[in-house]
Amino acid sequence: MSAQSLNYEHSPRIKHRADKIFAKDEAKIHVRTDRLFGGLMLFQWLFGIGCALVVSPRAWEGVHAQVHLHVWVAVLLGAAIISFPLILVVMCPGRRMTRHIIAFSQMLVSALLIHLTGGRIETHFHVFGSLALLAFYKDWQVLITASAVVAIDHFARGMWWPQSVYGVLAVEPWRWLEHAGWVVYEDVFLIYSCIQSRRQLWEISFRQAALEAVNEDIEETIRIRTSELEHTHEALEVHRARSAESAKMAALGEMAAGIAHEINNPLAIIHGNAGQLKEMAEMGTPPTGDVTKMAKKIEATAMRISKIVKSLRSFAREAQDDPFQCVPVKTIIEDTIEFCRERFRSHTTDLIVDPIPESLRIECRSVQVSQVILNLLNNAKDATETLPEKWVRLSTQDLGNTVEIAVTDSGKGIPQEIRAKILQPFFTTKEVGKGTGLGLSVSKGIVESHRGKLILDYQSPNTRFLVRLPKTQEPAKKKEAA
Amino acid sequence: MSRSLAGRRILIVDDEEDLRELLSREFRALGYETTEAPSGNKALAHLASHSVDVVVTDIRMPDGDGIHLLKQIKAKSPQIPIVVLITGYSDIGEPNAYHLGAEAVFTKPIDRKCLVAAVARSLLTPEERWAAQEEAVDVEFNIELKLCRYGQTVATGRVVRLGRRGVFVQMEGLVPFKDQGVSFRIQFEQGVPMCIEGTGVVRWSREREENGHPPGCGIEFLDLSESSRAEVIRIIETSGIAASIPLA
Repeated sequence: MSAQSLNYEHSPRIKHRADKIFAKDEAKIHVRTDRLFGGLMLFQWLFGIGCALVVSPRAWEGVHAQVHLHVWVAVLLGAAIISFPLILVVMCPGRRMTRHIIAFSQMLVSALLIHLTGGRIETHFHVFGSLALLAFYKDWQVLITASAVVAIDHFARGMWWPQSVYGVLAVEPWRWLEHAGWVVYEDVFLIYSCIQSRRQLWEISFRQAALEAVNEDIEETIRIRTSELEHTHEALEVHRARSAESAKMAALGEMAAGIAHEINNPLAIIHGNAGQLKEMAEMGTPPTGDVTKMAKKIEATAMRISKIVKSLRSFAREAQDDPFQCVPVKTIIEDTIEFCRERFRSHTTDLIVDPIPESLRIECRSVQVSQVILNLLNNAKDATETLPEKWVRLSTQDLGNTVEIAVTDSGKGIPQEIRAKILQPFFTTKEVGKGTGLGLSVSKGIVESHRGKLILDYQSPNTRFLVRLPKTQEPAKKKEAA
Repeated sequence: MSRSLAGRRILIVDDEEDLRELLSREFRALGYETTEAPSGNKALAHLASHSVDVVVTDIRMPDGDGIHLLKQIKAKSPQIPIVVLITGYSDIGEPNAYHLGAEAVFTKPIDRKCLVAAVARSLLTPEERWAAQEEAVDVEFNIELKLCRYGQTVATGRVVRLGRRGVFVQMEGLVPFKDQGVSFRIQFEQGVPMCIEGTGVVRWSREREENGHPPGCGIEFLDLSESSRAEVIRIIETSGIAASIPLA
């Protein structure tokens, strides 16, 4: 962390930014102080008029009284003094010239007030107050302008009109220096304070700039990380798609072999029976019983092929955009079993299908549900491959609003340590190349899109997966599907 | 021919009952005695207590598949010919089936006439089998090889390997297709000069290297010249070759 802040201290980028912040803050102070003086000028003008009215409202020449000259001076000269700085405050606040003119005018206001109060020494305190207020600018040069005005004013009036400034008639040529001396005395501290607070202001600006830089760095880092994450995510998506594709191809290869067997066997039966019938016919009238039996075999076996082809057709496409339809559970399960019976047979695993109530129907995308069941059956089959006792049981239960399809195999359950993981994508316990680990997570997605649940039943002594699907979908779901 | 087949015992192994029934009917009509088994293990159980002359078996079956059955029979009684029925995909390729000692391989749906002929042929002695065929083969391909010695790389870069029913010939370039008729004349020049000459049919063909096996083809002998017939019979009987047609 210290290394990093050291870096920031030496960064020209941050210095530059700090300068900018500083200039902006300083300009704000200048404008604010300009406005303060604008108000103060008006107040002082009115105060001056007030003073004039209190101290010497009227001048007497015998019985003739008239408004004292001081009142007119307060009104007119005061207005003349404050009008220019006021215009500047309105027209161009924050400008260097504005604050110097204000300093100049403020000191003239002091001079006027001193004059109006008949050179009272107490009024001279206005000068010190004004200097302190001018220090608000945090610009020591303004103090120099003001001090110069005070010195020149005191010098000039002290020489030629001492009553106006000191309230005495005698000229004291060096008295202005005494006054100027006190001003300089105050200036020293005010200038020091100005320089100090400017430095502090700059430090604050620098800190802000550094903070901004740190924030920017953090944001940049976050942006980079986010984009990296997005890339990773994209790559993962691509990988996932590819894996899904390769899983599909592997499954397809295995299926192709199964289907070839499944179709070529009945074809062989049909072909053979038809050939024998033909030969019998060629040889003369055959015994009727045999002919009927063989023809029936041909018929039934052809139907078997047609069933396989039907189940194939339903698996050969994506089903995620299929509409939800009310389908007998029995049909879905029978179609699915037709599709994997062969694989079970060649693995010598017993597939036990408990009776399914004829009337049981669910509203679903039947191909997807079929895919889920097929996936569970295949997992079960793979899991039992090395077991001495090999069976898989598929049972269906009506739970009122829900239908529960359970796939149980002769395995002794999923080990505790992997239970939480089995539904995650890419988790697999199958040997390399055999499983992509997508089956269960994809199945879970499908079941959830049906507002159902895919559950691993821990209670069962054997490995048992439950698919619970609602019998009907919400109207919203239907709309979405439509 | 049917006269000599009367009473020959054939074991039909398939998990499809209808198919077994069909084949039994076919062979019974020709005078064979037929027995059926629904699986490899059931077939082996039957063989343990009964003797048969020929076995026709499916490959993909629960409870002991055809490959297992083929290996078991070949290990115990190599003289029993076995005709294998496959469904065309993945389980076992034809080259492998021949390599394991299958007499003939048929893809379902089966040409019954060919199956019957192959079973009948499998029951012949080598001498009978390779005597001049009644039906001449359409020879589409001629293989003329001059080899230093059986089974070894030769000047032409070719290798042959003899099986009980045919020969594997390694070939570069043009490989004959499956089921093509070929005539061949393979001359071994070193050692005892010998020549195998005759016609055959290509049972499988491998156009490029696969699983470390060189390109070439498996040829089943249909007939052999009288001199080469005697040579081949002598070689296969003394060498203990198991394969019908070696893989490579």
